[in-house]
Amino acid sequence: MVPKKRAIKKRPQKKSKSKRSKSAPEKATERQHHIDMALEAARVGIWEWFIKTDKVRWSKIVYEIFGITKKEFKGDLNSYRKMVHPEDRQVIANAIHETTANKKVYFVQHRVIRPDGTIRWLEASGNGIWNKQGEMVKLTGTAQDITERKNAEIHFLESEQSYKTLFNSVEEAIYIQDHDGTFMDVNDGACKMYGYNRSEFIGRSPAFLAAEGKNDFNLVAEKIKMASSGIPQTLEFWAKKKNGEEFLKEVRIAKGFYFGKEMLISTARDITERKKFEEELRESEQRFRTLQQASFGGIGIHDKGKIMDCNQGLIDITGYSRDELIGSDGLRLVAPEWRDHVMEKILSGAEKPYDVEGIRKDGSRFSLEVQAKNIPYQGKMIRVTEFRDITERKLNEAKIMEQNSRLLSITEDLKRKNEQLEEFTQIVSHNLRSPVGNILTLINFFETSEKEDEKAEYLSLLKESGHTTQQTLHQLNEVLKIKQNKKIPRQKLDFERVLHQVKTMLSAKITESSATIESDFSQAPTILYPNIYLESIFLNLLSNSLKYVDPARKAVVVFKTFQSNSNIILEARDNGLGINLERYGHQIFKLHKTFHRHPESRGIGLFMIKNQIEALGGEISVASQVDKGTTIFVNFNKYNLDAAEDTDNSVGR
Amino acid sequence: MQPKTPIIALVDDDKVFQLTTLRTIQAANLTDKILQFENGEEALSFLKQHATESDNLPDYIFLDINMPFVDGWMFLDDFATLKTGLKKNISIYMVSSSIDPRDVNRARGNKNVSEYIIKPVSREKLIELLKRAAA
Repeated sequence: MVPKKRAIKKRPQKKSKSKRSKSAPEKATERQHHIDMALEAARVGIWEWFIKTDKVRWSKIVYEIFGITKKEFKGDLNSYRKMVHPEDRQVIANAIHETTANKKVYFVQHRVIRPDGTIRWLEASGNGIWNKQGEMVKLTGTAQDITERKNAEIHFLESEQSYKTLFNSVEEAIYIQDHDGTFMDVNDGACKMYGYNRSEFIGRSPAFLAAEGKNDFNLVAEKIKMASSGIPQTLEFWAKKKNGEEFLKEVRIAKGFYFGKEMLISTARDITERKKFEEELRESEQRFRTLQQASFGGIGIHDKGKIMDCNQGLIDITGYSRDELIGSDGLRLVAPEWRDHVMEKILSGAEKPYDVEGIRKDGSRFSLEVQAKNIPYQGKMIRVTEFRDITERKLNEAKIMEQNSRLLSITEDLKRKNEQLEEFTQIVSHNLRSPVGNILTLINFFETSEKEDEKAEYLSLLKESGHTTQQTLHQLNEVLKIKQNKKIPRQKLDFERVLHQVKTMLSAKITESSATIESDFSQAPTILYPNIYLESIFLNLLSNSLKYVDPARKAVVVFKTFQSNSNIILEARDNGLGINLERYGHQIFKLHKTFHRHPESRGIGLFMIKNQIEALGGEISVASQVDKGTTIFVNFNKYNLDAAEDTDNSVGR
Repeated sequence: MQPKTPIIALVDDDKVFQLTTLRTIQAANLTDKILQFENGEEALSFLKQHATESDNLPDYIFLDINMPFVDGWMFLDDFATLKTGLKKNISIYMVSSSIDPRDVNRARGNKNVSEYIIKPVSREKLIELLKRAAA
C-alpha cells in the first residue's frame, strides 16, 4: 500500500513541474483544478486536520464515502471518530500517535458506518506538517473507498481458512508435493497417520516414509511421472510410522494447483484393515467353494428360486450342466406337484430339511431331501439350498421297515409258540402229573390196606386213574400232532357245505334243543383250509352252542363269515347262557376246563380247536355276556403269511 | 385257642385225593369233622352260608388249583374279600400236582396261603400236616 501512496504524491509534483511555463498564480489555480479533477476521477478524496484548531476539512469524495453532506459534518476530529466503526477507532488513534510522535507516514484502513447503517471500508494515508518549532500543525492526505477490495480480501482469507480447515479435518492424509516428490505441505491427517509433525515433512522427499524393502520405487517413480503428466495414479505403498510400525496405504496422486503453483496432490489412507478383511473374505470364499465342491450333496444358491451359483454335486444329481443351471428356475429340479410346497418353504424361510420328489434333466424322478438357509448377500437375502439324493436311504428305510415288520412277526410268532409251550407245561403239570401221582398214592393205600372192600375200591380207582392218564396222553398226542402238522394239506372249502355236514352229525341234538341255525357266508364263501380242522371247528362251536342253550328263550345260532384286512373271519353267535368272561376268561380255551355244571362239559373241544386254529396261524377269541349269549370269532389267517407259503410248497410237492 | 377237634375242608375235584386223605385222617384219628367240596364254587358258597357260625367253619382248607368252574386261584381271590366277614381264622394249604414254578411262586405270594404242597402227598406228610393243624 505504501508504493501506491507515493505514486499519488509524486503525480502532482511531476505535473507542477511540467506546468511551470504559465504565470504563477494562474498556473497554480489551474494546476489545483487539474489535480482535483484527476483525484475525483480516480475517486480519491483529500482531507486535512488542523491540529491546533481541531478543524477537519474534506473534499467532496470524502463526504461521499461517509454518505453525508457538508452540512451534516461538524468538521472536527471527534465528529469524524464517531462515524468510524467502534472496533476501528483505536486503529486511528494508534496511527495518529505514530505520525505525531515518530513522524511516520500516516496510514489506516477502517470501517465507516454511514447514517443508513451501511458499512464502507476506507483507506487513508497522509503526512504530518511541522512548523519551525517542531510542532506538528497539520495532518493531511488522501482517502479512498476500498470496500470492494477489502471484501475480496476478506473473502480470500475466509476461503483460505476454509481450505485449511478442510485440509486438516479430513481423516485421509493429504500431501502437497513438488514434481520430484518433495513435500510442500501436509495436512493433520498425514501427521496423525505417521506420527511426524508438519515441519518434519516439509522439504523432505517421501523416501523416509517407506517400509524397508517392501516397495518398488521404480514403480513409485513411474506413477509420480504419470501423475505429473496429468493422469491421476493409484498405488499401494508400504509405509512406516515414526515409531517404526509398518502399514499398507493406498495413495492417489494427481496433478493440481496449490496457491497458483502446479503441484502433485496426493491422498493416502491406511488400508491394512481393509486388506486383511479382503484377504479373509477371499479365503472364506475359497473355503466356501472348496466345501461346496467337496460336498456330496448338490448345493445351489438362489434368489427366490432363480439359481445364482451351484456346485458339481448339483450338476451330478440333476444331470444339467452348470450353464443350464445358473440363471434358471431351481423349481424345475423338483417334480411339478411339489413345486408349490417348495415355494412355500422358500417364502417362509424354512430351515428344516424336508422330503420332496426331484426330477432330473432326463425326466426321471428321485427321492430328494432339501434343506435351505437364508443368508444375506449383497444387501439382500438369498437362499443356500442343499439337495440330497436320498433314493438309497429311502430304499434302505424300506428294507429296514420290512425287516422290522418281519422281526415283529417272528417275535409275535415266538411269543405265541412260547405261550403254547407254557400251556403245554401246564397240561403236563396238572393234567398228567395228577393221575400219575394218584396211581402211586393208590398203590400205596392198596398195599397197606387190610380190608378187602377197601382194596377193591382202590383197585377200581387205580383202573380209573390209569384210564384218565391214557386219555390225557392221547389228547396230548393229538395236540402235538396238530402243532407239528402245520403242513397239513389245505383244500378249497365251502363254508356252507361244511356247516351242512356238521348239522347232519349233530341233527339229534339240534332237534332236541329245537335250535334255529342261520348262516351267511356271502362275504367270504370259501376258504383254503384242512377239511378235518374246519369240520372240527364247526362241530365244536355248534355243539357248545347247543349244549348251553338258555331254556328261557328259543335257541338261535348264527354263523357268518367276512373279510377284514385280507383275513377271513368266522363269527359264531348264539343266544345261550353266556359265560362270565371277567371270571372265567383266562380258562376258556384250556384243557379240561368247564364253566357250567353240565353233565356233558368235558372241557376238551375249545382247547383242541384253539390248537388247530393257532397251528395254522389263526386266532380264536370270545365275546360273551351271561344270559345274553356267546360269540366266538375265528380269524383264520391272522398270522399266517408263513402258513400260506407252506401251503404253496406242499401243493408243489 | 383252637377247638379240640379241628374242622378240615378238602377242596378238590380229584376223587382219589378226597378218598385217600379222608382215610388217612380217619385212620390217624385226628378229627372226624371233614368237609368235602368238588370245586371252589361249592366251598365258597359254604363259607358264605356259614360265615358267622364259628362252630361250622373249617379251621383248615386243603385247596387244589386245577378244578373246573372255580379253580384254586379264583377261590383265593374271592376268599380275600370274604375273609373279613368270617367268624374264624382259616388257614389254607394249597395242594396241587403242579410243579410249575409259576404256580408255586404265585401261591407263595398269596398271604392267605400258609403252605404249598405238591401232590402226591405221602401219608406221613399228610399226618404231619394234620397233626400240626390239630395241635
